[in-house]
Amino acid sequence: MATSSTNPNPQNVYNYAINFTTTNLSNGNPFVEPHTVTLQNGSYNIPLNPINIQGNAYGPCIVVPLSTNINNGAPYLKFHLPQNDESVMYVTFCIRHTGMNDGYYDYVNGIPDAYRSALRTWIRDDRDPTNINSTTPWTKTLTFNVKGIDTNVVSATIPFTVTFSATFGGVRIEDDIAFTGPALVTG
Amino acid sequence: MGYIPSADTIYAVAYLTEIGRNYLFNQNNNRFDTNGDDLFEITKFTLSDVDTNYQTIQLLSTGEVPDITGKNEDCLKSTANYVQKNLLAFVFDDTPTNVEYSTDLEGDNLLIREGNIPTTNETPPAFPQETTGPFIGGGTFTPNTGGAFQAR
Repeated sequence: MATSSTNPNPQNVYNYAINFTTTNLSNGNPFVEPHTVTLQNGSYNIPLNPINIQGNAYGPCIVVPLSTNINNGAPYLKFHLPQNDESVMYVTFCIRHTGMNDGYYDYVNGIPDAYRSALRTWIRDDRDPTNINSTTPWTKTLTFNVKGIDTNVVSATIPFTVTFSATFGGVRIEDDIAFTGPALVTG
Repeated sequence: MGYIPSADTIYAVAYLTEIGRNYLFNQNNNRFDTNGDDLFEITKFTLSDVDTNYQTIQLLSTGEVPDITGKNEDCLKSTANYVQKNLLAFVFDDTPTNVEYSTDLEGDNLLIREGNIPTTNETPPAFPQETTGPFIGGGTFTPNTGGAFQAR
Protein backbone atom coordinates (compact mmCIF):
# COMPACT_ATOMS: atom_id res chain seq x y z
CA MET A 1 0.00 0.00 0.00
CA ALA A 2 1.36 3.40 -1.01
CA THR A 3 2.34 5.75 1.81
CA SER A 4 1.26 9.37 1.85
CA SER A 5 3.28 12.47 2.51
CA THR A 6 2.54 15.42 4.76
CA ASN A 7 2.73 19.06 3.75
CA PRO A 8 4.88 21.31 5.94
CA ASN A 9 3.27 23.60 8.48
CA PRO A 10 1.54 26.30 6.38
CA GLN A 11 3.61 28.97 8.08
CA ASN A 12 6.71 27.29 6.61
CA VAL A 13 5.60 27.45 2.98
CA TYR A 14 4.84 30.47 0.83
CA ASN A 15 1.77 31.87 2.54
CA TYR A 16 -0.31 34.87 3.43
CA ALA A 17 -1.46 35.09 7.06
CA ILE A 18 -4.42 36.74 8.72
CA ASN A 19 -4.52 37.16 12.50
CA PHE A 20 -7.67 37.62 14.57
CA THR A 21 -8.20 39.29 17.95
CA THR A 22 -11.02 39.83 20.42
CA THR A 23 -11.39 42.99 22.47
CA ASN A 24 -13.43 43.13 25.66
CA LEU A 25 -15.32 46.37 25.15
CA SER A 26 -16.17 46.57 28.85
CA ASN A 27 -12.60 47.41 29.72
CA GLY A 28 -10.83 47.73 26.38
CA ASN A 29 -8.52 44.82 27.11
CA PRO A 30 -7.77 42.02 24.67
CA PHE A 31 -9.45 38.73 25.44
CA VAL A 32 -7.40 35.75 24.38
CA GLU A 33 -9.46 33.05 22.71
CA PRO A 34 -9.43 30.90 19.57
CA HIS A 35 -11.41 31.99 16.52
CA THR A 36 -13.50 30.27 13.91
CA VAL A 37 -13.74 31.25 10.24
CA THR A 38 -16.32 30.43 7.60
CA LEU A 39 -16.36 31.15 3.86
CA GLN A 40 -19.34 33.02 2.48
CA ASN A 41 -21.00 32.20 -0.79
CA GLY A 42 -20.56 34.78 -3.49
CA SER A 43 -21.63 35.57 -7.03
CA TYR A 44 -18.93 34.79 -9.58
CA ASN A 45 -18.89 34.00 -13.29
CA ILE A 46 -16.73 30.99 -12.47
CA PRO A 47 -18.30 29.40 -9.34
CA LEU A 48 -16.04 28.95 -6.36
CA ASN A 49 -16.99 25.30 -5.68
CA PRO A 50 -15.18 25.28 -2.33
CA ILE A 51 -14.36 21.93 -0.76
CA ASN A 52 -13.87 21.32 2.96
CA ILE A 53 -11.00 18.92 3.46
CA GLN A 54 -9.84 17.02 6.48
CA GLY A 55 -6.68 15.12 6.99
CA ASN A 56 -4.43 18.13 7.06
CA ALA A 57 -1.99 17.74 9.91
CA TYR A 58 -2.44 21.37 10.90
CA GLY A 59 -6.20 21.63 10.97
CA PRO A 60 -9.25 21.89 8.71
CA CYS A 61 -8.90 23.58 5.34
CA ILE A 62 -11.00 24.81 2.47
CA VAL A 63 -9.71 24.39 -1.08
CA VAL A 64 -11.03 26.31 -4.08
CA PRO A 65 -10.35 24.95 -7.59
CA LEU A 66 -8.80 27.29 -10.14
CA SER A 67 -10.11 25.24 -13.06
CA THR A 68 -12.54 22.48 -13.92
CA ASN A 69 -9.72 19.93 -13.67
CA ILE A 70 -9.94 17.88 -10.48
CA ASN A 71 -7.26 15.33 -11.24
CA ASN A 72 -3.74 15.12 -9.87
CA GLY A 73 -1.86 18.27 -10.77
CA ALA A 74 -4.97 20.48 -10.90
CA PRO A 75 -4.39 23.92 -9.32
CA TYR A 76 -6.21 25.00 -6.17
CA LEU A 77 -6.16 27.71 -3.53
CA LYS A 78 -5.99 26.44 0.03
CA PHE A 79 -7.29 28.32 3.06
CA HIS A 80 -5.96 26.91 6.32
CA LEU A 81 -8.62 27.71 8.92
CA PRO A 82 -7.66 28.42 12.55
CA GLN A 83 -7.22 25.13 14.34
CA ASN A 84 -7.57 24.22 18.02
CA ASP A 85 -6.60 27.27 20.06
CA GLU A 86 -5.27 29.37 17.22
CA SER A 87 -6.35 32.73 15.88
CA VAL A 88 -4.58 32.75 12.52
CA MET A 89 -5.58 31.72 9.01
CA TYR A 90 -3.18 30.99 6.17
CA VAL A 91 -3.58 31.15 2.39
CA THR A 92 -1.36 28.80 0.37
CA PHE A 93 -1.18 27.64 -3.24
CA CYS A 94 -1.52 23.96 -3.99
CA ILE A 95 -2.29 21.28 -6.55
CA ARG A 96 -4.42 18.18 -6.30
CA HIS A 97 -2.16 15.36 -5.13
CA THR A 98 -3.59 12.08 -3.92
CA GLY A 99 -0.21 11.19 -2.48
CA MET A 100 -0.54 13.85 0.25
CA ASN A 101 -2.33 13.28 3.54
CA ASP A 102 -4.96 15.90 2.85
CA GLY A 103 -5.04 15.28 -0.92
CA TYR A 104 -3.23 18.47 -1.94
CA TYR A 105 0.41 19.52 -2.28
CA ASP A 106 1.32 22.99 -1.00
CA TYR A 107 3.92 24.81 -3.08
CA VAL A 108 6.77 25.80 -0.81
CA ASN A 109 8.57 28.60 -2.64
CA GLY A 110 6.02 30.15 -4.98
CA ILE A 111 4.01 29.03 -8.00
CA PRO A 112 5.07 27.60 -11.37
CA ASP A 113 4.16 29.23 -14.66
CA ALA A 114 1.28 26.87 -15.42
CA TYR A 115 -0.25 27.55 -12.01
CA ARG A 116 0.17 31.29 -12.50
CA SER A 117 -1.68 31.07 -15.80
CA ALA A 118 -4.56 29.21 -14.14
CA LEU A 119 -4.64 31.70 -11.28
CA ARG A 120 -4.82 34.62 -13.70
CA THR A 121 -7.67 32.96 -15.60
CA TRP A 122 -9.51 32.35 -12.33
CA ILE A 123 -9.04 35.97 -11.28
CA ARG A 124 -10.22 37.22 -14.66
CA ASP A 125 -13.43 35.28 -14.05
CA ASP A 126 -14.52 35.26 -17.71
CA ARG A 127 -14.40 39.04 -17.90
CA ASP A 128 -12.76 40.98 -20.75
CA PRO A 129 -10.92 44.26 -20.28
CA THR A 130 -12.83 47.13 -21.76
CA ASN A 131 -9.72 48.63 -23.33
CA ILE A 132 -7.10 46.20 -24.59
CA ASN A 133 -4.69 49.10 -25.01
CA SER A 134 -4.55 49.90 -21.31
CA THR A 135 -3.49 47.73 -18.43
CA THR A 136 -6.47 46.55 -16.50
CA PRO A 137 -6.25 45.12 -13.02
CA TRP A 138 -8.92 42.57 -12.35
CA THR A 139 -9.75 41.37 -8.89
CA LYS A 140 -11.63 38.46 -7.43
CA THR A 141 -12.67 38.74 -3.79
CA LEU A 142 -13.58 36.01 -1.37
CA THR A 143 -15.49 36.95 1.78
CA PHE A 144 -15.10 35.18 5.11
CA ASN A 145 -16.69 35.62 8.55
CA VAL A 146 -14.84 35.36 11.87
CA LYS A 147 -15.90 35.25 15.53
CA GLY A 148 -14.42 34.11 18.81
CA ILE A 149 -15.12 30.58 19.94
CA ASP A 150 -15.26 31.15 23.71
CA THR A 151 -17.15 34.44 23.63
CA ASN A 152 -19.29 33.29 20.68
CA VAL A 153 -21.06 36.62 20.28
CA VAL A 154 -22.76 36.00 16.95
CA SER A 155 -23.92 39.59 16.60
CA ALA A 156 -20.29 40.71 16.76
CA THR A 157 -19.19 38.45 13.88
CA ILE A 158 -17.28 40.46 11.28
CA PRO A 159 -16.56 39.84 7.62
CA PHE A 160 -13.11 40.08 6.11
CA THR A 161 -12.02 39.63 2.52
CA VAL A 162 -9.18 38.11 0.54
CA THR A 163 -8.77 39.85 -2.80
CA PHE A 164 -6.72 38.36 -5.62
CA SER A 165 -5.50 40.88 -8.20
CA ALA A 166 -3.89 40.45 -11.63
CA THR A 167 -3.17 42.87 -14.46
CA PHE A 168 -4.30 42.16 -18.02
CA GLY A 169 -4.03 43.82 -21.42
CA GLY A 170 -2.00 46.86 -22.34
CA VAL A 171 1.06 47.52 -24.50
CA ARG A 172 4.37 48.04 -22.80
CA ILE A 173 6.73 50.64 -24.29
CA GLU A 174 10.39 49.58 -24.30
CA ASP A 175 12.71 52.56 -23.96
CA ASP A 176 16.09 50.90 -23.75
CA ILE A 177 16.32 49.08 -27.08
CA ALA A 178 19.73 49.34 -28.77
CA PHE A 179 19.29 50.26 -32.42
CA THR A 180 21.52 48.07 -34.52
CA GLY A 181 20.31 48.85 -38.03
CA PRO A 182 21.80 51.30 -40.56
CA ALA A 183 22.22 54.87 -39.47
CA LEU A 184 19.28 57.12 -40.09
CA VAL A 185 19.61 59.27 -43.19
CA THR A 186 18.84 62.89 -42.52
CA GLY A 187 18.77 65.87 -44.69
CA MET B 1 -30.31 30.07 56.61
CA GLY B 2 -31.94 26.69 56.39
CA TYR B 3 -33.41 25.00 53.37
CA ILE B 4 -36.52 26.76 52.17
CA PRO B 5 -38.73 24.17 50.50
CA SER B 6 -40.74 26.73 48.58
CA ALA B 7 -40.82 30.48 48.16
CA ASP B 8 -41.84 32.93 45.50
CA THR B 9 -39.16 35.44 46.23
CA ILE B 10 -35.80 35.04 47.88
CA TYR B 11 -33.84 38.07 49.00
CA ALA B 12 -30.13 37.99 49.63
CA VAL B 13 -28.57 40.65 51.80
CA ALA B 14 -24.85 41.29 51.50
CA TYR B 15 -22.92 42.69 54.44
CA LEU B 16 -19.64 44.22 53.36
CA THR B 17 -16.45 43.65 55.21
CA GLU B 18 -14.08 46.51 56.01
CA ILE B 19 -12.19 46.09 52.73
CA GLY B 20 -15.47 45.81 50.83
CA ARG B 21 -16.63 49.13 52.19
CA ASN B 22 -13.26 50.63 51.29
CA TYR B 23 -13.72 49.50 47.69
CA LEU B 24 -17.32 50.74 47.54
CA PHE B 25 -16.36 54.28 48.50
CA ASN B 26 -12.98 54.04 46.74
CA GLN B 27 -11.17 55.02 49.87
CA ASN B 28 -7.44 55.47 49.31
CA ASN B 29 -8.18 55.28 45.58
CA ASN B 30 -7.68 51.53 45.69
CA ARG B 31 -10.86 50.32 44.01
CA PHE B 32 -9.24 49.67 40.60
CA ASP B 33 -6.08 47.65 40.08
CA THR B 34 -3.27 48.50 37.65
CA ASN B 35 -5.14 46.82 34.79
CA GLY B 36 -8.20 48.96 35.39
CA ASP B 37 -10.21 46.05 36.72
CA ASP B 38 -12.83 46.91 39.33
CA LEU B 39 -11.93 45.14 42.55
CA PHE B 40 -15.43 45.76 43.91
CA GLU B 41 -16.77 43.01 41.72
CA ILE B 42 -18.41 39.85 42.91
CA THR B 43 -16.49 37.07 41.22
CA LYS B 44 -17.49 34.13 43.36
CA PHE B 45 -19.86 33.21 46.15
CA THR B 46 -20.37 30.29 48.46
CA LEU B 47 -23.36 28.44 49.71
CA SER B 48 -23.31 26.99 53.16
CA ASP B 49 -25.38 26.74 56.26
CA VAL B 50 -23.70 29.80 57.78
CA ASP B 51 -26.19 30.64 60.44
CA THR B 52 -26.19 27.31 62.18
CA ASN B 53 -23.68 26.18 64.76
CA TYR B 54 -23.72 22.43 64.84
CA GLN B 55 -21.77 22.43 68.07
CA THR B 56 -24.61 23.80 70.14
CA ILE B 57 -28.33 23.68 70.31
CA GLN B 58 -28.38 27.44 70.63
CA LEU B 59 -29.44 29.41 67.58
CA LEU B 60 -28.05 32.72 66.31
CA SER B 61 -30.10 35.76 67.02
CA THR B 62 -31.89 37.26 64.07
CA GLY B 63 -29.55 39.49 61.98
CA GLU B 64 -26.30 37.92 63.12
CA VAL B 65 -23.95 36.83 60.33
CA PRO B 66 -20.58 35.18 60.93
CA ASP B 67 -17.56 35.95 58.78
CA ILE B 68 -15.72 33.26 56.86
CA THR B 69 -13.47 32.29 59.78
CA GLY B 70 -16.17 32.36 62.41
CA LYS B 71 -14.31 35.16 64.15
CA ASN B 72 -15.69 38.55 64.92
CA GLU B 73 -12.79 40.76 63.89
CA ASP B 74 -13.36 43.54 61.34
CA CYS B 75 -16.88 42.35 60.59
CA LEU B 76 -20.10 44.24 60.72
CA LYS B 77 -21.87 41.35 62.32
CA SER B 78 -20.30 38.11 63.48
CA THR B 79 -20.30 35.32 65.95
CA ALA B 80 -17.61 33.11 67.42
CA ASN B 81 -17.15 29.40 67.95
CA TYR B 82 -18.40 28.59 64.53
CA VAL B 83 -17.01 26.16 61.97
CA GLN B 84 -17.92 26.34 58.30
CA LYS B 85 -19.12 23.09 56.89
CA ASN B 86 -19.84 21.90 53.39
CA LEU B 87 -18.56 25.02 51.71
CA LEU B 88 -19.36 25.24 47.99
CA ALA B 89 -17.61 27.91 45.98
CA PHE B 90 -19.29 29.15 42.81
CA VAL B 91 -17.27 31.24 40.36
CA PHE B 92 -18.99 33.67 38.03
CA ASP B 93 -18.18 33.14 34.37
CA ASP B 94 -15.90 36.03 33.38
CA THR B 95 -16.21 35.48 29.66
CA PRO B 96 -17.08 38.89 28.26
CA THR B 97 -20.25 39.34 26.29
CA ASN B 98 -19.57 42.84 24.96
CA VAL B 99 -16.78 42.18 22.48
CA GLU B 100 -15.36 43.29 19.20
CA TYR B 101 -13.65 40.95 16.76
CA SER B 102 -10.98 42.26 14.42
CA THR B 103 -8.27 41.25 11.96
CA ASP B 104 -4.76 42.60 11.48
CA LEU B 105 -5.64 43.58 7.90
CA GLU B 106 -5.99 47.14 6.75
CA GLY B 107 -9.64 47.60 6.01
CA ASP B 108 -10.15 43.94 6.91
CA ASN B 109 -8.97 43.05 3.41
CA LEU B 110 -5.98 40.95 2.35
CA LEU B 111 -4.77 41.92 -1.13
CA ILE B 112 -2.79 39.25 -2.96
CA ARG B 113 -1.25 40.49 -6.20
CA GLU B 114 -0.55 37.64 -8.60
CA GLY B 115 2.46 39.52 -9.90
CA ASN B 116 4.04 39.55 -6.43
CA ILE B 117 3.92 35.78 -6.02
CA PRO B 118 7.39 34.40 -6.82
CA THR B 119 7.91 31.79 -9.50
CA THR B 120 9.14 28.36 -8.54
CA ASN B 121 10.41 25.37 -10.46
CA GLU B 122 9.97 22.99 -7.53
CA THR B 123 8.79 19.53 -8.37
CA PRO B 124 6.05 17.97 -6.26
CA PRO B 125 6.41 14.32 -5.24
CA ALA B 126 5.42 11.81 -7.89
CA PHE B 127 1.72 11.13 -8.06
CA PRO B 128 0.68 7.65 -6.88
CA GLN B 129 0.54 5.13 -9.69
CA GLU B 130 -2.96 4.03 -10.52
CA THR B 131 -3.35 0.28 -10.09
CA THR B 132 -5.56 -2.05 -12.07
CA GLY B 133 -6.47 -3.90 -8.98
CA PRO B 134 -7.09 -7.63 -8.59
CA PHE B 135 -9.84 -9.36 -10.45
CA ILE B 136 -12.45 -10.57 -8.11
CA GLY B 137 -13.60 -13.97 -9.22
CA GLY B 138 -12.48 -15.79 -12.36
CA GLY B 139 -14.19 -16.45 -15.62
CA THR B 140 -14.27 -15.43 -19.21
CA PHE B 141 -15.82 -12.53 -20.92
CA THR B 142 -16.54 -12.46 -24.59
CA PRO B 143 -16.92 -8.91 -25.84
CA ASN B 144 -19.32 -7.83 -28.52
CA THR B 145 -21.18 -11.10 -28.60
CA GLY B 146 -23.88 -10.25 -26.17
CA GLY B 147 -22.63 -13.02 -23.95
CA ALA B 148 -22.85 -12.78 -20.20
CA PHE B 149 -19.92 -12.91 -17.81
CA GLN B 150 -19.49 -16.48 -16.77
CA ALA B 151 -17.73 -17.51 -13.61
CA ARG B 152 -15.62 -20.61 -13.62
